[in-house]
Amino acid sequence: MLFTEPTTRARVRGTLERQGYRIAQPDRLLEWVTGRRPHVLVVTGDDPPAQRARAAVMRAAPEAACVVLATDPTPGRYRELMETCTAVLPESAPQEDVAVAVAGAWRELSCLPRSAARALSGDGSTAPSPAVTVAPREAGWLRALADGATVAGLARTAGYSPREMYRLLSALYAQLGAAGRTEALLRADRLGLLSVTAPGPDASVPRPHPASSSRSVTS
Amino acid sequence: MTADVVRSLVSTAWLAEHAADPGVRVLEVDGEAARYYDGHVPGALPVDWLDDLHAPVRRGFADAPALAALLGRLGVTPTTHVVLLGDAHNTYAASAFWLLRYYGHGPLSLVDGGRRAWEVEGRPLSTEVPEPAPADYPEPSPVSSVRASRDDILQRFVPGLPGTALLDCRTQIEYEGHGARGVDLPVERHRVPGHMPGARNLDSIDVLDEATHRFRPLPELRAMFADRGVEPDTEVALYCRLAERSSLLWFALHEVVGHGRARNYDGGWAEYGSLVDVPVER
Repeated sequence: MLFTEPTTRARVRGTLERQGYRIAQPDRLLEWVTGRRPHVLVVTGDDPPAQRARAAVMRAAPEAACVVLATDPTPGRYRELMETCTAVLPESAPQEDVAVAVAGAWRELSCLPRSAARALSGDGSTAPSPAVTVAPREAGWLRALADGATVAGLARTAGYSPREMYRLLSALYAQLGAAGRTEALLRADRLGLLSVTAPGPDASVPRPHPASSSRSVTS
Repeated sequence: MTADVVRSLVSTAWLAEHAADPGVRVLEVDGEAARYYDGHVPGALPVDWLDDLHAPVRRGFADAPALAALLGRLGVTPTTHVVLLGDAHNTYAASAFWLLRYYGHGPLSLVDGGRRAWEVEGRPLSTEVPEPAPADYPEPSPVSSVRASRDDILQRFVPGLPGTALLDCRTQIEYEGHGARGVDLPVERHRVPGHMPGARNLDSIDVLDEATHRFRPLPELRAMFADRGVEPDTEVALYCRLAERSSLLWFALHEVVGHGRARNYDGGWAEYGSLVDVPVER
């Protein structure tokens, strides 16, 4: 069952029909779904209207497994979506992968791209993920930011111009799979990079107070 | 352009024509300034929403002395026409607009569509960072009519006194108390999910056209607010989580619709959701 924009809907529908699924595509989805107990919802899009539509349908059909095809989801978005959905794939995923995700959802198995699963696997762990390599100096920057340092202040301490510092941090955020500072610090915390036992900071960067190094994102 | 004819909302075409005018200072306000350094409206200066507009130690926006110092560093005087734009649906720029309005800066505009509109239209971007001559900006006095304090919220808006309305500008999922974002772990109850009793939900992004990120036509905006109980004489308090999204909705209501009785609760859900023994609905 799909509520998607037309092009993707036609493509996904064709794929699933070839797999033998019975597809429903009602005009008035919310009314249709009430009381019918659908097995799997396939949703394309993750913009606010799609989020609202998905939330409404999932409230009406709480037992259904939901497969979301999202546009360029970040690790943070994968995490948020997986709180309520069964599978999340990028919208550009091959149709074979969509079929696998739906088959898994049918059997109450979750599906994520391997890169996303690896990125999320740091949750709850204190050890850095092998997929993310952060230099000790960069870990020090992250700890300083988590402790409330400004980027301009960090630049002064580390001997960079603000432009250079922002660019270095931007690359570091991207390396962590994050779109911005807050998301990067949440991710770094989950990877154990904000821990005082993580690799030491650059000697020129003030080390945050141990008791507060992770306070801003976890406590 | 003098203060009495400054429009709160200007177009990218206006910006292209006036960015270099004497007396105009263009500020790009982003979640942080990394994108600015990759390219910006020629002549614009960077403002980092987190670092420049917030107090370094206590919780809250920059106080009057800090804001005066910042504006002085940016070469802004009380008569400078400050023109704001930014990324992320212009929310950070709208937040800066609200803050400057709160501190009584007169000539002030927000660029409709923000940085995205400028880029989509293929307008020029520069990597040159201007170095303005510092200016003297006297310590401003706050304009309390655009701000709702925690006490305002608890004493007037949450009890639902006649003639008041609350608008929650977060996503529907946040409003309903699902899908905690980032640091909110409901099980710890350090900040609970949900919304203020009586608050109506209007996702701030909904006031923008999805494709252009410009504000929707005025009749549509009026209808959105009217549908949520906002009448011409209603005192409205708006909140989100950190006060940037609510600033965008405040701008739509106060500056575009022209509803003078709109207050931004900058404590937001980050504050209210952490208070002990206050009513919360889910």
